Amino acid sequence: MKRLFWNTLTMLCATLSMHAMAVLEEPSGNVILAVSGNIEHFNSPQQAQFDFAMLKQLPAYEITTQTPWEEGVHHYVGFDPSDLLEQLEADGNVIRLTAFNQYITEVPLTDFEELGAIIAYQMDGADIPVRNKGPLMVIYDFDQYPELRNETYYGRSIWQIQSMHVLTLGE
Amino acid sequence: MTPETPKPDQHRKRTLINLLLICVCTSSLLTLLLLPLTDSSARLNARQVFDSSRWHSLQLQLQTYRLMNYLSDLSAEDLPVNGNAYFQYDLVLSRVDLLRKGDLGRHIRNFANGRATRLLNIISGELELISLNIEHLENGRLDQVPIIMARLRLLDSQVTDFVVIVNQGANDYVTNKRAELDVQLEYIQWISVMLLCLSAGALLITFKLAQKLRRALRYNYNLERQVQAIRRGKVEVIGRMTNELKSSLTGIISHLSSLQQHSTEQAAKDVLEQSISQNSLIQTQLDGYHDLVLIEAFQLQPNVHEGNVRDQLEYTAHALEHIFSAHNIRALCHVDPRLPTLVDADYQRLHEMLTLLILNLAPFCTDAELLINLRPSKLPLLHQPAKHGDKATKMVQIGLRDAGAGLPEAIQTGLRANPFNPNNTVLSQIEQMGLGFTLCHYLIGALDGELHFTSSSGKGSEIWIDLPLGVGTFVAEPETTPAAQSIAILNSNTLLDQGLQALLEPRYTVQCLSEEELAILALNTTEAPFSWLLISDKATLSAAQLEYVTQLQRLSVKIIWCSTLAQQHPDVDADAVYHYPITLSQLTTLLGASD
Repeated sequence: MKRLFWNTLTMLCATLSMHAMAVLEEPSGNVILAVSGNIEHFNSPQQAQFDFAMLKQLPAYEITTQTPWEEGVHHYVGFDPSDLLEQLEADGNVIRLTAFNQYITEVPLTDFEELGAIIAYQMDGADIPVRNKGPLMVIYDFDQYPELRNETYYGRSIWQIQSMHVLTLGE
Repeated sequence: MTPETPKPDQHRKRTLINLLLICVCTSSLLTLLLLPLTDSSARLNARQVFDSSRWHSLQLQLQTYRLMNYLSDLSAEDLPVNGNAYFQYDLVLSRVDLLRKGDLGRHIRNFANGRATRLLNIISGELELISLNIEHLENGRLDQVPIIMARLRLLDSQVTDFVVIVNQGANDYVTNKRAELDVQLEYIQWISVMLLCLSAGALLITFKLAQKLRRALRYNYNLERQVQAIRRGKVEVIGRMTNELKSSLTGIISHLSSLQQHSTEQAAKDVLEQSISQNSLIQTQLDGYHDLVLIEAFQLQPNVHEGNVRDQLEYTAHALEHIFSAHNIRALCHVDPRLPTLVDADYQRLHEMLTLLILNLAPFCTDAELLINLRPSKLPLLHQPAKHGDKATKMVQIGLRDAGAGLPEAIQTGLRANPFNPNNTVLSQIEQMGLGFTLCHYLIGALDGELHFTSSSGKGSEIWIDLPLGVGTFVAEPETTPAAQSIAILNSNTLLDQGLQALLEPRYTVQCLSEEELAILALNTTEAPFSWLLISDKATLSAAQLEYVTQLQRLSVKIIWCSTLAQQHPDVDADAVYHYPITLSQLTTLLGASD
């Protein structure tokens, strides 16, 4: 009887876990972003993984601006992480982004909602290669908001993003 | 008398004001200088913090070691590497690109006389050469790993050199920038000290000026008191003079009246009548001049009381009879029936104002008609109290319209000027338009009234005086009731036609008659459709016209004409003769007495 109970419980947990994972489709291409933290939907253990195609399904936003680390004005296309987190039913107010070189920065979600920042996956109409700080980078509209030209926002403009962790910091 | 302010003091005051201005201007310029200095500091500071060349050069070194680490860990089981070798390689190259491009690239270019850039080019070149080996590795050739590792080890010293140079360059850069900031801070300190000195100077000058201002205010206060005292004295003296002259004039008038009563000759009576009128006019003028002094001293108090507005206006008009006669002015006085009989006003000042205005207007409407109208005004009440006693205050308009020569330009300019503007002194107004107009202008202002006018050379003038009077309510237009008598007015094509019509219409059935209509009526009718024929503004009548008049008289039409015609045609027995100014009471008396 006890064994039957534990078997049933295990099956139930597995079913629930499968259900949660089933809501989010599996990436068919190379994984370029792994999201973890306070999220409700997963497609791999403890993570929600995304390939380019999945990210491009999100509403796209555009910014044309000049950054200190590029010559001239460039046109960027990307997504708002708020849309991504909404899809994952995430609960948090800050995302901790990690780059390939293990550089970590925390960006409040208000930067995306109020300042219109995006996580860009295209620059000047083409995907951004790793060599050129791709595939994903946080872009602020420095031309529209010149007051953002300071160390705080330069520090948050992380590139070569590989993972995102959703967390809630005390308000 | 207070002595005049000494000239050296004025000179000192001017110097202090100039010094204050110099202080303020210099302070402003110095403050302007501060702006670029502070802006530059902010920029330098921001750049110093942002240009994290050290961080990126160390990241290059770190990525190189990571690439080496990745390669050293590769074994046959890891093949194929599926782009991971390229990925690690690209991470290194992305750092190189970052150090060569943008603000950071420009910044590093100057380090160690360009040695940093040369080293970076070498590193970049070496890394580009490795790309071929990486490609082989991606194709499954594990033998490329030692080659790549060897090349990377050779590159290691150059990367380390690069990091050292960048570190030293960044230190030098920061030191230079700090030195620049120190210089700028020194400038700011100097400017701040100068601003402090200027502020202290300005404070001192302001204090001195405030002392002088206080003295000047006290001086002004004393002067104002003196001016007030002089004005009071002037009012007192003029008041006494006026009273003495008026009592003498009253005595003269009473003597003249007595003489007139005892005189038997008409010519003597007429002369005495004229003398009485002139003396009365002088009395009015004296009152006016006294009022002008009171206005100047801000002591005029209107003496408002209830009175019969029609009677008062007719009284004023009759008082000017000899003036009208002297200038051959055919005047007509009309009060709008919408005005109530009893109105609260300062009748003495109203009389003065109208008398002086008409007296001064008369020379410009010689041999012309003059209509004097009193009617409700369309102007709103602005600053006056809404009620006077138990009567509501309303704006009432006195209109003076003549067909004379028009007002001279100087008088028009004077009347357009605001009498209470400090630049328009009484003296300058008198010099411009004479005492009478000036007094009238000031009196209207003192009674809270307004004067507007229009004048055209050769076509006459129209003056509107709007005054607040205690009217109560305006009477609605009286309904036309069938009048007992009908009057025909022989058209004279002058202003008098419409004036007479307006005057008679409320009481009589009035019709206007042209000369042709008169002829037709006289010759073809056995019964005239009117009982009176009023002939106005004619110096003489032609034989034919006289014939028509006689014919109408035969048809029981009564004739009323002016005194000039009565003198010209003594053979025609007119039923009534009127004199100028024409008033309603005169016409009513004449028409009533002859019925």
